[in-house]
Amino acid sequence: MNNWPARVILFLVVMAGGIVSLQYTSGHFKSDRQILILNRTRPDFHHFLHIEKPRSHGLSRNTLKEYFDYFHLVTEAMPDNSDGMLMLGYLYEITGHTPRARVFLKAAHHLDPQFFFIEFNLALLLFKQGEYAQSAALLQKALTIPPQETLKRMMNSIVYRQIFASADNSLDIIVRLRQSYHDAYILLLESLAHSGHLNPALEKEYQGENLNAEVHARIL
Amino acid sequence: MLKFMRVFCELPEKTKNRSTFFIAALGLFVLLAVLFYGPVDGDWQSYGTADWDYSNFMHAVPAWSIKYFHELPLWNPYVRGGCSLIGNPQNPSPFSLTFLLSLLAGPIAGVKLGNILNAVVGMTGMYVLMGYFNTLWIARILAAVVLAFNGTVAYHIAQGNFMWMMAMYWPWMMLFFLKGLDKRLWMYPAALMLSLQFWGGGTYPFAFVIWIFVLLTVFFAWRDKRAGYGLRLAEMIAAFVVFCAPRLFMVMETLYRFPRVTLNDSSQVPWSVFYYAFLCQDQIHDHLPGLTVTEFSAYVGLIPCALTVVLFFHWKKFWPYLCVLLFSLIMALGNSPYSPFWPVFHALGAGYFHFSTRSFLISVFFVAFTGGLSLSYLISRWRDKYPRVLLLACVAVIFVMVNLFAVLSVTRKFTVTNARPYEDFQPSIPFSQLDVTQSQEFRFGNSFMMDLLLRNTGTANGYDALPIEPHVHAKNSPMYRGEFYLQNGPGLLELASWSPNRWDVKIRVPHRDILVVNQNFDFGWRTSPPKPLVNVNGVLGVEVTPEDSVIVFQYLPFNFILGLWVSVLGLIAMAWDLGQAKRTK
Repeated sequence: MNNWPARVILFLVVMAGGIVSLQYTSGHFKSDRQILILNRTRPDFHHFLHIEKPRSHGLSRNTLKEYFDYFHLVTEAMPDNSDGMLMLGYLYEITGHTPRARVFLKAAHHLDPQFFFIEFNLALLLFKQGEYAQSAALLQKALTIPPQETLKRMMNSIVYRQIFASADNSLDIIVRLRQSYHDAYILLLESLAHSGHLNPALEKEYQGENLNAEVHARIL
Repeated sequence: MLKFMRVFCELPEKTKNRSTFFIAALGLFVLLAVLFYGPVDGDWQSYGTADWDYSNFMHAVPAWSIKYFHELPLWNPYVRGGCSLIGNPQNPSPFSLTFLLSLLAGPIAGVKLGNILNAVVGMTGMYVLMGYFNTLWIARILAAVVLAFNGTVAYHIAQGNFMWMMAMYWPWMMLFFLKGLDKRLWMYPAALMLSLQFWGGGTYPFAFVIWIFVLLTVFFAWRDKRAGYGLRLAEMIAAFVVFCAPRLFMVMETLYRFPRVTLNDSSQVPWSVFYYAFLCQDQIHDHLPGLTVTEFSAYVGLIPCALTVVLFFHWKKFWPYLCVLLFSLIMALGNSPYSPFWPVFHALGAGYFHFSTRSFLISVFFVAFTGGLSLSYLISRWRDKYPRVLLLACVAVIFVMVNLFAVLSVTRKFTVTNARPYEDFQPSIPFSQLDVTQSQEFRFGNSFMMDLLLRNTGTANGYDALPIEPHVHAKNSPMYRGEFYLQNGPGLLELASWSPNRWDVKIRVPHRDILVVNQNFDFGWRTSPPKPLVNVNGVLGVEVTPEDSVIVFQYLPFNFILGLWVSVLGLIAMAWDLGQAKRTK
């Protein structure tokens, strides 16, 4: 190897410079980059995600991929953001990856145990897995959160604001919120009934609930 | 007459004075380049549509930073609220040949002269490269002509993408690279040419040439059973880093910060693209759905293509070059099930690139190269049996030349019709920034930036290939508070001096406040007296106190300084290496 000291020095200088430059750059501009990628990769949110029917979501493979990519970036850029976790949990749930969905929904619940939609979605998943008692407990807690608080919480969330901004103008969030609370209540009755904890008064209401079939179709 | 012509055709090979013939060839190349690229856009001081405005703007900002403000162009305050100028990979930089012409002749005449100069550099390089393979003179001329005048280059020049002319350095790079495989010190000039291309700006030609060298190194290492070629390539890249570290590190920073995230949305390009791109005489109409002729044109004509096909009969000898050619052709098919290359290229390019047919830039280079090799081989083989074959080859090359000029003359329709008069820069007008409306923005092409620049005005919502997010408020916005202002309280501000990279602000404030500059925040700014920078909703700010009288802002980013150090230390190591090699010799 001809004149190896000079060549080794050349390589060392270049490599050291490159490493220092990369470290400086990633240290100073990582958040700029993440935000920019998030803004650039944000899907159009034609679907209102977990307020819509999960089973017949009708999302194309490409759209789902866009959502997955985007919310993975959200959780990467903002690890403390429970809404990104919630969305991923929802997406995994509707695509049949229940164990992963459970991980993300649990993580979301850990980060924000006071948000109606996290508890509702987690309860729904637990119900489907036959964990009725836990599902009922979560739903009871979820239903104690006033809808106004849930709405306020969504309005203050950057993830939800983007969804609202790109969703259809005709979207009536109040109607959908009311619907979700109603669904949660029916699901609570179902959970209690399956776990054998339904008291007689509620059982009467449960038997008389005419919307059971519709709710079944919508959320289960 | 025929005898005279034959003697004339064979003269260059019989002449003992090779340099005389080289000068004659150079003269021919200058003439051809002036004839082909000279008339682009009518006259020397007007410019055309599409990307002409953007490209002229990118040449003008650094040129005028030096000419009128006497400073190294590092920051561009004129586009999207300000961004690093040296870090923008599209911008030409002071160490490029084209930029020197822009500095001397003005940005508009400069880029036109630059096109001619680059074409001559490319043709000369191809001529010398073909000489390295001991080809006949007529084959060298053919290769040079096809390289400089083909659909890919002509259409991109017509649209104002002058950076594509950086591909004209490829023959020189290839020559030094091939020599460097035998004698490693030749890798230094190869790296120098690569860095000249990089300093000149442009992303596609740079990415493509890296692919070419990587593929060729792998193929040669396979062919010769020498893994050491990988080390040679690494040395070339290390030397390249040394030659352009200040810019390279800034480009890495800028690309990291503003990643151009493009979806891999390139369509499935049909196989017929090869006919419409390389052979079809109609280079006006968009024959393929979803692709404009400006994107896929790579017209070279039948003869060079046929010659390239002939070289496939010498697959054993030339397979590395032919493989790269095939790679570029197949890559052009985009997301076709027959082409895995484009998705790979797109993934490795971090999503920067779109339009798979742009890989035809590699194709035309290798068509020129292999076509020349093939012609030389055919003449050598048949000359003894058919003495007139050289004469026939001369006629064929002249035909190719005329055909290329005739077919590609249509590219001028893009420029002449919208030619605009040149005006000079007015640095005395106080700097400000405007938002332009869509109709204004597209009045003369892609943007309105050059017009505003002439009045020392930035385009807050101007075009840049990188997704730079403007955080500034333009002068025509209701939120505008000036280019410099105090965030909270009262106080007096006076702009003592302004240049693109340095602002001196005289200040008097009754109590602690934030001085806000209407430019995008960047860590590369420094203040005198030294103060920590404050990010005020994305724009630059600094805390000021009643004790402060003058605040000087200067853009001198860390990565630029780091790059200078790497260049200096690396050049010392290279000089030592060269000195040692000379002594050993």
